[in-house]
Amino acid sequence: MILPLSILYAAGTLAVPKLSAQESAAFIMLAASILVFRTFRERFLLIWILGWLAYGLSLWFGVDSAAFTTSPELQAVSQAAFVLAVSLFAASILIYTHFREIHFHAAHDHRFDHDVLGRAGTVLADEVVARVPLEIAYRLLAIAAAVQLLRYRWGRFEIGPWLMACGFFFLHLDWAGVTGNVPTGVF
Amino acid sequence: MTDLFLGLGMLFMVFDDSRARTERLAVINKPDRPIARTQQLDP
Repeated sequence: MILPLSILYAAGTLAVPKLSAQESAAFIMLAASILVFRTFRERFLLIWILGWLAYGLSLWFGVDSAAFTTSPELQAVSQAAFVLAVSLFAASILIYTHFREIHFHAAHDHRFDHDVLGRAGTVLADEVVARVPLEIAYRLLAIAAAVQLLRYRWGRFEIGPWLMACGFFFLHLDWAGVTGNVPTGVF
Repeated sequence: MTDLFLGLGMLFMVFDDSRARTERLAVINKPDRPIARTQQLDP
């Protein structure tokens, strides 16, 4: 059943919206995380899975999606899902590193992000005054998670934490005119 | 690229932790095995 559906999807005969490379990567990572969670049953992996789900949805509703003509409302949904994804990724890392003190601050930042996002949605998606605090807020969360992860795994030289830290540093929303110079899919 | 970094990084970390846990268990089991064998030989 799955094989014929896959063939039909690849041939383009199914009336299902095509996923872009970035969306496919996000959903593949979601599937991989679910498989790993089935084996290891760690709490942080559950939060990590929810983060990938939110990230996948943010790409699905995003500006570069081939599936929809993006309206300002869909852009707002995409940005909200992206901020949620970053918050969940950061929460997962904080749970992984057993860093209880920062939970409150992370939750506070999360609320702050959504306040900022709400304002961005009501004013205008591309308004600089609303966009700059949003960019600062979610980048702060991502960088704090990356720094905490590197601190936690500092004694051991492993490639995993460094890859994740790089991912957190380069995680960003598309912003026409600012990130438009870098081709989609590179960072 | 960012997605791959994040996803693969977490997978590497989880597998590294699992390997470290297995190695720790092996170290703990090492002295247990001769003790258990000795106790089995006792009348």
